Amino acid sequence: MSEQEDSDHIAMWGAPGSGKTTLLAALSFALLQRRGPWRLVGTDPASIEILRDKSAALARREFPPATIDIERFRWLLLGDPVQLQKRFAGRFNGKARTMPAPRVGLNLIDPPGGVYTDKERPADHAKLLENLQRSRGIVYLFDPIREFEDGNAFEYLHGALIQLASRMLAEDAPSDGRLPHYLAVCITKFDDRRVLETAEKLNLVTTDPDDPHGFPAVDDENAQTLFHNLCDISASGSAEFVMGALEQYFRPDRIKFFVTSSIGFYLKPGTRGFNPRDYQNMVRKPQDGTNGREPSTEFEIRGQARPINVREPVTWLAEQIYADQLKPGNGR
Amino acid sequence: MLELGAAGLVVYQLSRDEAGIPRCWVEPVRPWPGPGGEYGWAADPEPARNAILDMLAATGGGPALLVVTHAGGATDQALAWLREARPDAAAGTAPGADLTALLRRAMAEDPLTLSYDLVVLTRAPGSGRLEFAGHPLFPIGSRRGDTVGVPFHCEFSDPAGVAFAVVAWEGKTPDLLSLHAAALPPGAHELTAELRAPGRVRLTGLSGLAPDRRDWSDLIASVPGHWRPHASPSHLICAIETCGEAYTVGDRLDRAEQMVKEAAGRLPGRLRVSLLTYGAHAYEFKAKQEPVRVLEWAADPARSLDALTRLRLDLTVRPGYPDGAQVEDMLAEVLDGLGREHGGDHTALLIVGGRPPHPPYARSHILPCPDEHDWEELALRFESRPGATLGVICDRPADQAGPEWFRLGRAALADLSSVDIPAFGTALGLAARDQRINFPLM
Ligand SMILES: Nc1nc2c(ncn2[C@@H]2O[C@H](COP(=O)(O)OP(=O)(O)OP(=O)(O)O)[C@@H](O)[C@H]2O)c(=O)[nH]1
Ligand SMILES: [Mg+2]
Repeated sequence: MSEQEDSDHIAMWGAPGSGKTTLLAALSFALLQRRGPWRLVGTDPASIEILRDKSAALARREFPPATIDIERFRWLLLGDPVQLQKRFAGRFNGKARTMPAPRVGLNLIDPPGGVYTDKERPADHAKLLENLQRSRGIVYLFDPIREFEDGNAFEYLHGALIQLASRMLAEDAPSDGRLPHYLAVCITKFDDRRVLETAEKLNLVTTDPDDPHGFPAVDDENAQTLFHNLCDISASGSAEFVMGALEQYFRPDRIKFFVTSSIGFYLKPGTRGFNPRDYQNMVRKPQDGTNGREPSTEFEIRGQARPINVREPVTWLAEQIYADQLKPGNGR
Repeated sequence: MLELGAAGLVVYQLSRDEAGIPRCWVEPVRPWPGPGGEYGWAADPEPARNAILDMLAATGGGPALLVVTHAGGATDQALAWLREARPDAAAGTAPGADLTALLRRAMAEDPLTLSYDLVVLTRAPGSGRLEFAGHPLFPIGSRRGDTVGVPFHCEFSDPAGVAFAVVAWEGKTPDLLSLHAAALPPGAHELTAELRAPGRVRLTGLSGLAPDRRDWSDLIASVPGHWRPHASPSHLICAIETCGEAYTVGDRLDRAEQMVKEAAGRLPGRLRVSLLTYGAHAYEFKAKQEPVRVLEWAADPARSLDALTRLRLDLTVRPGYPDGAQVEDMLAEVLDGLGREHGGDHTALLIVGGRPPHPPYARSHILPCPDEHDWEELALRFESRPGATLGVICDRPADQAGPEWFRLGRAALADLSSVDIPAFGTALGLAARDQRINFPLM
């Protein structure tokens, strides 16, 4: 059983500073808060504590410090069989109530972004690749802000992909020469003005009529269009290769795009609706020259964190993996 | 007038010039034709008579008055001939009289035939257009010894002073009778004009009054078309950012102080100073906004310098939001303050700071102003006030100041560490940019 769980886990992947750790915090925040078919629980005391700490820090409007050491989380996504039954009707054969709760291991390794390319830490590097290799689903974070400024996503991604592919293909080559993983491509930092404005210019922004705050959103079907365009305006111009690389290594039907924000848009306390004139939720901290101390991170969250679309990529992956678990011949 | 004197005939041509002033032209003596003398021309009167009548003809118009100042044979005979030729002319005798002196006196006593005015400027109430006008000094019929007091007002003038021009009005064209000047401080004054004679007006009551050597048409041309009341008090508004390192804030205060001193030195008694400080907006969760502080408004420079000193002593430098400062709130505050004032004074707004203003809405990485103040619109509103100049002393040199400061400092932009205060004061219009008004104002 535990082996099974281990092999069904989800890994996280993204360039340094792309928002991995913040996404984790937002994810715990969002999954702990919202009702839905999936719940998040820790499986050992340390992971339970981290889960609590991360969401609490976000509630304090703090960004996590840059990750220095690999952090491991053994979390578990527990599905509500009743809710999931509706979605996977037919596969349960009416036996939902007797089935154990669906579970997908969320063995997240939050590496310092640099480790994926860092040749000076071969042990960590190998562990990471192994983690990626053994995972069934990958949350890939694409940070458009970094792309505007540095444009290093391709270099970063490609290096790791080649290594991953060569490892996997050497061991048990998939039939189509592609990796078997599900890939949730998360465009991060949607709350940033430059990302939102790009989406607006492309007419991709909608609002969910059920959203009491009327926050801008990009439907998942349009997320890929936004991704393409963000790649086009990337600083290095090489981001377009990111798309090519993803399509080359992953099966197109196993890739899904999400436009996400870990912190969401700012909502002025006491107001209800999104204010298009004042929505930036990240604020640079005062630099306190008087005591000579530099703050641990440059930014903090201005208002309440209101994660956008952070639950969805993970639950999408969980559901894909779960659906595979239900497939006949899968030993279940 | 013909004088029949001992030596001969003297013609006095009496007239009024275009200014109505009596003028007298005394022609050289025409000696009696010889031999006349004591016994006249009894021996052979005909040539002498012809000669005298020729002399009469040569005077042009007929004489109105024949005066005999030397009784004797020849003059009596000449008088008889002349009266015969001009029966309508009055005749009289005044033996031994000094006719020139008598005439001079009579002319001085002559009542004015034209009115005399002092040239002044008036200001059209709405537009401020400056127009020449005559302030009446002496009406027609005024006589020697008449005096009149003239209260007036004057502004800054050229170093040669304010011109006092007395003119006579002949129809629509004035005739310049006299031109004097006195260097006077701006303000209210009074002069006294005394009619000494037609064409002669003595001005008293102003120290340093002397004939004005300036060219009349240059003087006329020196008058600006419109009254721009810069010459009245200037208002220097110093807005100082209090965020950042303590030593930077200290430098900013130093610059403001230097500018106040410089301006006060240039505009003694005519400078009002306002002092504002502004900081950063607070975006920290639930943080209270620190408002723009108005430490002094339109105060005496000395008072403002005191306030600066106090500010230096109890200033708490808060680091605050690092990407912007409340420049836009400060502009709104300044406009609010100025709104209460009658417009027109020269107003120089000096911003001493480093962090750029906040945009009115989310359009850059700088978070928007909580009150949605639009610094560009506010700056434009300030600049469009008559006599307003906006200048910036930025923490960074112009090429690193950023587009916001570049815009705000388009009239004057300098760098905190190297600003040339006197030159910057001039750029702010705090120099002797006053209008020169070389005539008294009414
Ligand atoms: N606007 C915006 N900025 C974000 C968001 N999430 C993270 N950031 C910014 O990105 C920085 C890096 O985020 P992290 O979560 O530390 O990124 P990481 O991928 O874990 O970085 P490493 O651990 O250094 O590899 C944060 O300090 C924030 O400044 C977001 O949702 N919106
Ligand atoms: Mg991290």
